[in-house]
Amino acid sequence: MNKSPLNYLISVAIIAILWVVFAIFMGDYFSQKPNLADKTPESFANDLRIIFGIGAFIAIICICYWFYYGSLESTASEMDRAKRKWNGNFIFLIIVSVCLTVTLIIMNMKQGIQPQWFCMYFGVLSALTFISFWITSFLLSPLTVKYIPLGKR
Amino acid sequence: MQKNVIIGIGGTGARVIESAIHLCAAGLGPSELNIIIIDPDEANGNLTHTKSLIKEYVELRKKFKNKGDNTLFKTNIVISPSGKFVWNIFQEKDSTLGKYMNYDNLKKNNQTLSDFAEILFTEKELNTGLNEGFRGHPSIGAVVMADPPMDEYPFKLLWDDISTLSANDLRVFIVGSIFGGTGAAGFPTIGSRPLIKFNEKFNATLGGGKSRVLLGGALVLPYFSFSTDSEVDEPMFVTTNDFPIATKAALQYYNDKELGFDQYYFIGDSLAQKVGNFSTGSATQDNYPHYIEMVSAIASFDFFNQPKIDDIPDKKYFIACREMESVDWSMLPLTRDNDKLQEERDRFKQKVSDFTIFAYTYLAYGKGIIAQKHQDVLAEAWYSENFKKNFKESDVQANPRYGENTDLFEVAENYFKDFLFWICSIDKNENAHLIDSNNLLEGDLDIKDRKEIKLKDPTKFKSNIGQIIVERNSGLNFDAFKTRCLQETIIDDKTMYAGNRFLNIFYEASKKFNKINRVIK
Repeated sequence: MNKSPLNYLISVAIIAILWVVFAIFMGDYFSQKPNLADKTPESFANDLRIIFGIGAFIAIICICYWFYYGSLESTASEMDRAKRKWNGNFIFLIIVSVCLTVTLIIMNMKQGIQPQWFCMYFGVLSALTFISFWITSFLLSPLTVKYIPLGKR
Repeated sequence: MQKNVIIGIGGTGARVIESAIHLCAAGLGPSELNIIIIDPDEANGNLTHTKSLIKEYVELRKKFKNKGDNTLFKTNIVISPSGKFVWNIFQEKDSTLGKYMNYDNLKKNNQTLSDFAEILFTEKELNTGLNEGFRGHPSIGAVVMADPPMDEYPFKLLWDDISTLSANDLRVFIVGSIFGGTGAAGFPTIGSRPLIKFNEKFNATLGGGKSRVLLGGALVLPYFSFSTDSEVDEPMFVTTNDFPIATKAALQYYNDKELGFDQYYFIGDSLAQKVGNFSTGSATQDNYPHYIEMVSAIASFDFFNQPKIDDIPDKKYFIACREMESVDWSMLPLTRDNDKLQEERDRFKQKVSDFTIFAYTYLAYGKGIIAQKHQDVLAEAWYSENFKKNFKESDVQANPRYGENTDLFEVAENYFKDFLFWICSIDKNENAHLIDSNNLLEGDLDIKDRKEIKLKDPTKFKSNIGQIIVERNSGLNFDAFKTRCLQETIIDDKTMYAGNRFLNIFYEASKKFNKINRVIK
């Protein structure tokens, strides 16, 4: 499971499935339930798909980079740097999810969407970004960095 | 059943035994090896070091458990049950030949004999202290070594269980230099026919020219030189200028005498590399190891490993010489059997290389891991894979830092430092190209402090590890050692203490590293 390219493929699949679940299957729920002032639910669903997609895409890049970095032989001698890299990726993805939520808020300020919905979007973005990164790196990191993710150290 | 005994005479004998022990540690020795050392110079630096090395080996072997099929420390080194494995010849300090012969009494009571002694020995020879050896005068040594106490340890070690042995099963190998004093004197006296080969008192002889003893000997010819201070204030001493004439005289004498040896090995080196400064003996006589001593140890293994002989053995003489100025892995005379020579050379190179990388990586990296807390090194995958599961702080089988494991690491560290000092010293003699110590050592070797050997940090000098063994290699670095070797080694033997698992992980990883780093021709 932690061998290339299996770990890359499984990670991409996990994040893609999550995106499909949140953006496609639950897309109608997320776009139709909130009260929208002048935007159609279809247009809002489209916005959500794009924002969730950006989050998922960035998470995929981060996890692929982590796997690539973890498979380099030179990483074996720089465990402290590897820890910093993992922490950096993780925090970066938290920031990404916050930024994307803020983007959603700014884009839809005039729509009068209740705050709890933005909390829910943040939850989805979290699942697609740093939580996905944590789960996939926890389960599928190359052997050299297998014990770096949070909870494994 | 076969019993192997090696008898090292004098400083060279002690140094050959040092080499033999290191080769045994690497897994090249016989299954059992009994050791006896003869040296009147109890404080001799070479002897003192070999004595402590034997004790370290025995202690480490007791604590270290091998994984599966690896042959590390497979040789059971046996010393006398009394713990006395060195025959120092003299009972008291300040012994002289005169005192040994009761020359003063002789003068008073037996004028004829005292006159005879005066013809054989000069006044200087009669009155010079011998506790630092025979100072290049084998004629003195031959007198005092003529009648060793065969019924006391360490010699009694030869005769323990003799009755259970058949013809030629007690294999005794005597090694010493013949260009100095102690070795040149001891070789013909200890190797004389009645003393060991056909000893009647202890039932060595079987009648009809047969014996339970197969006697081999390595005559170590001049192979080193040393710096001599022009202001040496000693009554009797030899310099390297005396070596050729002393050697010639000794060889002529041995040729004339009918000694008990069945097989002889002649080993020497004309390059005469420097191994240290001049010393008549005592603690200051502590020299850098030399590859000729390793070759002599190899000769003993060849002797012990030869097939069983039921009849009267034929006399055999073995000689090996360099084909070029330098010596590399492909030139070592490892066996008398030409068909097996290449196979033996590969095996030898592999075992010595594996142990070298093992000792280096443990000391330069593994030791640092043990010095840290368990929690602080869990990021290291190879460590977590082996020690994270079922970890318990107070369990010797789970925690390599607990209980007996710390004793094991202490003994192992001491031994590994000695091994690396030895193998690096061989490289120090510019003409031996087995390992490249520049890739391993930080600074120079200092014979006065073997345990203070300074090693290069493999995490900083990453590429050095792949260049330590002198051979065509793939140039793998320390990262490759960790990822392709250490991380791929998991030892999950529940019967082993964690410390043993830790060391075995490093050995297995070293084996893998050398295997993938080697370029197959």
